[in-house]
Amino acid sequence: MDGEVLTQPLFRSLGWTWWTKRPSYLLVFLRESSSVFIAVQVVLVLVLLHKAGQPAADYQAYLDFLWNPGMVVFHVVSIVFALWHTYTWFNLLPQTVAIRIRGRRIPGLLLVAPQFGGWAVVTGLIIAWVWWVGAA
Amino acid sequence: MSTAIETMVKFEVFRYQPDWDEPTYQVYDVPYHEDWVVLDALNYIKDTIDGTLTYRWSCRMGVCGSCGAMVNGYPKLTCAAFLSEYMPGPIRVEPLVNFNVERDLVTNLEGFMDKLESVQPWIIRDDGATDELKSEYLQTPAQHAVYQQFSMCINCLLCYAACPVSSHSDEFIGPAALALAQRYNLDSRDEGVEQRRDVILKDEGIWECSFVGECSAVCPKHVDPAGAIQQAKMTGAIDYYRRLLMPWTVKS
Amino acid sequence: MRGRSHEPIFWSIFGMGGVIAAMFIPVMIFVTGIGGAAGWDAVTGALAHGEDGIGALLNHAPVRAVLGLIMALASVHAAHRIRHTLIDLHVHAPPAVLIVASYGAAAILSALIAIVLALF
Ligand code: SF4
Ligand code: FES
Repeated sequence: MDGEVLTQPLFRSLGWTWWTKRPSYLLVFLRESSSVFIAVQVVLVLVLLHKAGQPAADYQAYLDFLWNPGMVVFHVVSIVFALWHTYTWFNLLPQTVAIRIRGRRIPGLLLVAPQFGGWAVVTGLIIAWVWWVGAA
Repeated sequence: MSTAIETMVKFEVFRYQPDWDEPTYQVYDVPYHEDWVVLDALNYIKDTIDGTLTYRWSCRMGVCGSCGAMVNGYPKLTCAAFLSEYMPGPIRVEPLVNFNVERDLVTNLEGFMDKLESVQPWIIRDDGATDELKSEYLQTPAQHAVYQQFSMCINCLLCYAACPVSSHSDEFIGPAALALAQRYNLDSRDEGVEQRRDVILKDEGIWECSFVGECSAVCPKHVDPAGAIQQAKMTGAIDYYRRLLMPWTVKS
Repeated sequence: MRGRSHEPIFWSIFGMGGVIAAMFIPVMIFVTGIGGAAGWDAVTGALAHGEDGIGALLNHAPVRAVLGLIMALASVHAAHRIRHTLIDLHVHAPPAVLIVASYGAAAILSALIAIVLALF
């Protein structure tokens, strides 16, 4: 074409719908989405703490709201997301922290397993403490 | 040639020329061979059906890194993507996403080359020696093992095509170049950490990364660029607080 | 220093918050949202109004301090993730706007948490 070089480069992006394109993307997107549920649950607990300092009737009304069936469904969904956060977070540590012994990375399991162990202990202790207070 | 009826595979190949307004998909029927890879099919198309098809390749053995393309939406080395994995087809072949398309399956690599150069992926010495090392610098196997994984990159750019951050930020230095920066920063012979710092520790360096991790999943050489970036973030954060809280320990 | 990012501040708090959220948020949701609703008497008792219930859980200052820290760190963690997720969803907002909106919201939330727990 008269020696003229035609170039109109075409940019093709993975696009904002990347998270729909493969299961591995979706799982990451769900991991990131856990943050929304965590944030809402923090707000719900904040209100609970606030209501705890109010008259008993106000507090009870909030508990009734928090424990109505629709909200319980939301809590169950939230806890699934929170557990997905826990699971993915613990498993990603070996990629972030490279502990080397004589140049070789230590096995990831050595970093991952103690976290799950710690999680089980912390969760167990808190439930035991709540149980102990509530049963008293 | 066997006399049995040949199985055919339908290929839908992305076509685009610079003077076209719109790309299209062109369909080709290619005979199925169990030991063929997608690159073999492209060569078959070019040799026997349509000589105008443009794509890059060289080594046919997963070493040169030039044959990357989206195969059914997944970034792949076409020389390592066996047809048998995609049977009965159709098999859709497109240029790697997150790059400008020059023509057909050929992407423009200039932006990447600039990013790669910006991290100075070579051994830097305090005494100024770069490409010409002034003496022998010995390294133990353990010192070599520290960066070995990050040195396996063949610049195939599959990781950029997998990266949601690269899909919206053309400034993001991206997985392969950052992994290579980390490779030299971890090399016991290198003294260039300071010189690479400003490029790596920008937002467009490691900090835009949101650790989707798909770069590491698609990498044919198991480089784990996501891990390299995470480790650089860890070092970068420690460095940041050290500069903030103990500025006297930082050489300028 | 040109172009040097201050993201390490957000990233490091995000990281601490991530560990804290991983450790404590599931059990927090269970205790406040599920156990009582499921009719588990011990949880209902522990969350009852007054000195024998939720008061007994929260009457120690160190407990309130730790709880406040957990909730505040989880908020910043969530804010950071939401911000980066919006960016990865190609939301074209000026970076400063997203930073102020996300960490600002987390800061306000943290302040409220501190006030409520201090006045408890
Ligand atoms: S890091 Fe892996 S996927 Fe990325 S360019 Fe290098 S070899 Fe290819
Ligand atoms: S042709 Fe060289 S890597 Fe595929």
